[in-house]
Amino acid sequence: MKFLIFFLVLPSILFKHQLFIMYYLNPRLAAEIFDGEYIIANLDTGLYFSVQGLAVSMINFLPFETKDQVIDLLANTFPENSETIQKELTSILEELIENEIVLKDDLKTLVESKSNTLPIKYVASRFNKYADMQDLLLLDPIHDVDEDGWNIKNE
Amino acid sequence: MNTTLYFDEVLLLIEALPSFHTDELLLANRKINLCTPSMELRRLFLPSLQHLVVNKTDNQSELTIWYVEEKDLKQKLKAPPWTGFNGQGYNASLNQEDVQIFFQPWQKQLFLYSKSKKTGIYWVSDSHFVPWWECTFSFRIIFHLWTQDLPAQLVHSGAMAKNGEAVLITGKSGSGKSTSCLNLLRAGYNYLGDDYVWVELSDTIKVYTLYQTGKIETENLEERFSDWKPFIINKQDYLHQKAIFDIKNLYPKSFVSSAVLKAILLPTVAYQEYTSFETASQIKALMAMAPTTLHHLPHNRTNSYNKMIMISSKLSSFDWLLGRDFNQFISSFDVFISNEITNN
Repeated sequence: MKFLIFFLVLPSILFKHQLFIMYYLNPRLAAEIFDGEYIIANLDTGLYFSVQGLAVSMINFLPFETKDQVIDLLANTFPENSETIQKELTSILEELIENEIVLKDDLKTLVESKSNTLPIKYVASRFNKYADMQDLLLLDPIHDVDEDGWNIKNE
Repeated sequence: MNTTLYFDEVLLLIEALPSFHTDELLLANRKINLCTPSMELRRLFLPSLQHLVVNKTDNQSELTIWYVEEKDLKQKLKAPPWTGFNGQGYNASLNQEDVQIFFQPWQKQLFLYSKSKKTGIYWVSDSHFVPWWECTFSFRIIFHLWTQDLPAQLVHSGAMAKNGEAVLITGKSGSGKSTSCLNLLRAGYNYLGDDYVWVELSDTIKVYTLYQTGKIETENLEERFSDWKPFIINKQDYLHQKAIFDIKNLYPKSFVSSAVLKAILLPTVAYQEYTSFETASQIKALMAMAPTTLHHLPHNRTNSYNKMIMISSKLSSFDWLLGRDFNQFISSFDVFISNEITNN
């Protein structure tokens, strides 16, 4: 019986996994477009990011289920720069995932990708991280307190 | 214990005060009552806000701020009984829907604000423990918490004006923001602030003077403002703090209370002879103003961030590459104001 369950359930998990990897913009972030440039703020951590160029179009396609499909589509729009685009969009998507701007989820229900107009001109993609404030944010000094709960180092 | 109960307990202690002094302020056409039983705290906190003090009226105040020392109260105040306050004074795990708390656990001071009561409270164990910088931007966090429901935003920025039209001068510490403001003040421009200003968001964006105290690093003082030394307020302490000046007393004719905002300048020390201006993107302006402001003012970040997006999207922005030649710094600013502000 156990073997039967194993053979019935496992393939369905694998099948589901293959079908439903979803890339989507982290809903906890504030993302705005100014003059064709994305500014993405993680107001909880004090980290800010900006994305310029063709990678803006890649973000506009979110949520999507197949990253290669979106990157191929954008790369094929500008055949003369196809190779460069493949490299820069793959690299920026990795950065976006690493910084939890784009999240991957293999349990979400499949959502239809947005249809977007493709850009008419290729502009090289750039990803910037503004982390000036983050070191200060992590400051959390250890302190001793008196009977009323106040820090005693000042005394 | 929830935050509302904690606030109410503190307010109960304060309302039992036998006597106290009230100063009335007018900030961006809104009346504020500052109440304290402590003349020592009043001596520390009122000077930076002195320009806002008005004669007493019967008008209803829109904000009341109580500021007290432990010895003023009948009972000792317990520290906020929650863990999780970060270095910025913010606690993300607390429900702060009505009552908001700013508490840096290594300090014996506390800021509370109740939205529903429009009341702020500042408590310190003893006036000697008030950090010197706190008095240069008195009750900044309470003003910030108050603005959540107002079309207004405190911005970490200077602002200078001419003929009622102002530029916001913003950037992180060390960008040349304060020095540029104070140099322009000396050259005859109107002063609205060199560190924090109040920006009012309506059809026209206006800037109001929030604090009248200027601060200068010792090295900068020696290099550029040594003639101001006789006017230093904190003569005993400025070498290990910053030199503090009462700008309204120093340049009474240059002091204005508000102006229409026309542009954002993003200063950078450019290590070049001459100062120049270049058009900057809205994102660059937002990045010069938002991270630093939201670091100092950690509550209601989304609300404030959206207001700063509005400010940066409605105004033109310029990189301001600061050169060494002082005379050209002033003359180039005159040309910039004439071309980009007055004639537009």
